[in-house]
Amino acid sequence: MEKSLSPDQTKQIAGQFARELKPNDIVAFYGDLGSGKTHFIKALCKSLKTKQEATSPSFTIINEYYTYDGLYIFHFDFYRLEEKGELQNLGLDDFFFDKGICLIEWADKIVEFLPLRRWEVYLSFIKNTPDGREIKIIKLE
Amino acid sequence: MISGVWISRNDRLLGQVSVAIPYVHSKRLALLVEQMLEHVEIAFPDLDALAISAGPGSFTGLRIGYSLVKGLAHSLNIPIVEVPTLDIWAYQEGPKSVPVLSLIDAHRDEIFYGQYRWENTDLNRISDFNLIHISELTEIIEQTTLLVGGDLVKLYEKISSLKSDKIILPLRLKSEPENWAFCELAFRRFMNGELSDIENSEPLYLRAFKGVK
Repeated sequence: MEKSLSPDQTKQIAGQFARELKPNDIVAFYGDLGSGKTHFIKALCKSLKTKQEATSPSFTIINEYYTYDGLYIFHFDFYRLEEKGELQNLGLDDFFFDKGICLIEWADKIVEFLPLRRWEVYLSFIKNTPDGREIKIIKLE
Repeated sequence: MISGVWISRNDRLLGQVSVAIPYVHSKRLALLVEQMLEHVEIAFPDLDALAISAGPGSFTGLRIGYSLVKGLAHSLNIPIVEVPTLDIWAYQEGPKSVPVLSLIDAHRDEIFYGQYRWENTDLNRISDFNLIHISELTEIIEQTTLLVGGDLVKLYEKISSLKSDKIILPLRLKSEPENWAFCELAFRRFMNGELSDIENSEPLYLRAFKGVK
């Protein structure tokens, strides 16, 4: 568990985490609205040197970025998912079992569809510290 | 994953254009069709049918392939010939004296499979297409059987760990289906009148969607 006291510190933590990631990794993000999932992912993608700046895929569901080395990053946001039947038209396994890296916001909405081998990142607020966040990163094998 | 377009006259391959880099289906498939027809100097109205490798396989790849084929079939008013991908894998190994089990990785330790038997030069499917856990392979294989499929390389260790003396693997493991086998099977189906139209053609997804409310 790490404590970040500012958005800049969260960026640093995301940057360190980016060095751990390899092709075919899946990262599930958990945290309430405003807890900084997209902020963390923006910094993560910057560290991975994606050609595009990461933006929230709340409306598009999936954003695609790629690095100069040809690594694809798939950024998902399932906040708007209302029923699991909608997932049928996404072909999620094509992404989860491919060579790219999948970053998944609101992963709790699709947790039963995620491969067991994945990273989990939990972001939560710190009481009386508006910009503070507790960040827990777990690797599941 | 191969994104490719082939053309045959009767069962003879006339031309092919294929690309084996990721994520090109959506951007390039229609262009590949156009380019290939240019290379072999055949115009769209000269086509008699459109064949498609019907899956199972990449969900997105199948959707894109089917969208293009259905669009063309509609505008050219010609039939569609759907060839299950597992049939192609079984066929390309050539006639065998033992049964053949063709499989594709369905992820999460599951496989899609179909079982086949050769009678002279005819390949007959003797099972439905099914989805099982890889450990159940030993339960469905009753006699010495040849396993085929592009994912055998990936699944080799897991299959070996089953320690079944009834499983035979091909001498050479290939990662992509052979285009000549696809063309021959498509032509056979065409001649047998096994045709589909835009209403009744759809990909073989096979995976039951678990957890849907």
